[in-house]
Amino acid sequence: MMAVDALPKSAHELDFSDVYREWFRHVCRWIRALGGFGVDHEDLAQEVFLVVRRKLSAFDGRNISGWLYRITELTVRGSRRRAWAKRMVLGRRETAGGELVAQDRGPAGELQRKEARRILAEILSSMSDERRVAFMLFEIEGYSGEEIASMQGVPTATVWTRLHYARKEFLAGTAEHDRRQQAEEQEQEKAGKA
Amino acid sequence: MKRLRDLPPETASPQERRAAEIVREVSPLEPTAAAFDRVLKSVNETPAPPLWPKAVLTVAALAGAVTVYQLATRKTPPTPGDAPEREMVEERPAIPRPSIPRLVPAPPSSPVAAEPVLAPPWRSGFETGDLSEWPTNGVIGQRCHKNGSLEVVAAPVRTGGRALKIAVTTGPERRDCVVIRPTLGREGYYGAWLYFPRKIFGSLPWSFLRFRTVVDQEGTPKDRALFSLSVRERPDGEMTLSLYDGVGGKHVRPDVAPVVPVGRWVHFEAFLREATDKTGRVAFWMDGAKLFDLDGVTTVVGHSLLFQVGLIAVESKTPAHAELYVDDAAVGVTRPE
Repeated sequence: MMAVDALPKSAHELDFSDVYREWFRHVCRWIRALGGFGVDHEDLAQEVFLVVRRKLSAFDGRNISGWLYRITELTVRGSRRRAWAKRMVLGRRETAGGELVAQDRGPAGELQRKEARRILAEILSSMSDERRVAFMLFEIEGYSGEEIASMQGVPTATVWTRLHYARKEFLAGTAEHDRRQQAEEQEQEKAGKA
Repeated sequence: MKRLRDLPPETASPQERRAAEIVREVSPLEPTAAAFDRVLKSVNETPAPPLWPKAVLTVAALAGAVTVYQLATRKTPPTPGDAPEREMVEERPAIPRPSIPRLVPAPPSSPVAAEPVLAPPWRSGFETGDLSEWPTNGVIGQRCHKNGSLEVVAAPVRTGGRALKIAVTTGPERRDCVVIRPTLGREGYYGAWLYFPRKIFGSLPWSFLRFRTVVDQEGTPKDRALFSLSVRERPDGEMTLSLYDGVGGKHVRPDVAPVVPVGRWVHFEAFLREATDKTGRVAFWMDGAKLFDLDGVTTVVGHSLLFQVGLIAVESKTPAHAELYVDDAAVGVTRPE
């Protein structure tokens, strides 16, 4: 006899509006973690939720965050492929989408934020996808290791390993960045004196 | 592992402090309410895509794959000096093949339904002090995932000296804690007295009384909610009800959302006429007031229908603890007194 626990579950009771209300914010965060700072979150969130609306009745209800994360991951991947193809055909980069939230911190604060984001993006771009996404989800978007593991469907230990190496790379990256910046400043100083 | 931004400066290395400075400048993404509304509006306004482009692509891909396979496996014509191919094949020793059993759907009742129908009238007041009135066989009886508990308690009770307490805390996975009986296999009334000690709101609704099936039409084990009564939050903060019609695949909300009382016993009752065609009926009452009545509908999809009372939560990011007390559950062909 098969125990009920072993049976596939149905999530038919899930209402799309409930899922949207509960998960919109998370989906936007995942999009940024997966696609980087330049992606158009609203456009991709719309794509994700169109898929969610279409597939909700077939969802087995077991791990909603994992299910939504997977849809987001595939959507972001598809969008990257489309962007790549567009660049190949049209020979230009897509314009980066705007942030959903603009921080009101004055010009100096805004400049500092932009600079930090530029450094962060630069260092993250040299990491593997897995480490970069784990780093973004944990360090920037504030998810716990367990939450990330549940979304990505990997053991928690794997997440910690990725984070460990991602942090190591990030620290090395910031050191390298600061060293380069210092060298540039010295160059400029020398040029100024000359 | 602590986040870089949370590392205490006195213990962090200079490089960690520098990294923390960078990370602190980038905050978690908080989409605005306007973005929330904009995306929702565009999702709602976008019609569902037609199926045919996908179907055409699938057919084309399959046809392509078949052609490639045929080309790859096409035998070159024999040259005049070669021995006929058929003879070569016949010379090979025959390879014994194991017999592969054909996959056939399981008979409807075999995998799960040990107790097909319930003999009415049936009552459970938990006066035995345990759950022996809800015998378990892996399908019916009780089911409680971790972070949930079923406990027979002495207070609060509606009648007698015992009631059932059900407690569930949601977490990263779905949480269920329910008691289950099979349905009558015809028309009948299913009721229970419930006591919500406080309002329970997850960010997603909690189901507490439902009919479901565990075997689909093909005889394959599949859990499917057929009719499910849930509590959800009303705009004014009160707890109200909604019904999920799993056969029709829609959510039914009453025109005037009734308030579910908290801190007192409330009688919930359902009538179910089981029918695989449009002659079925399902109705729900709360304290004798009719809430929902779906008449002339299909009420049975699959086999092995079950009636369950308890707390069923779908995964939520917002951890929520819910408690429910159950007493005087009853099933009968006529409406119990």
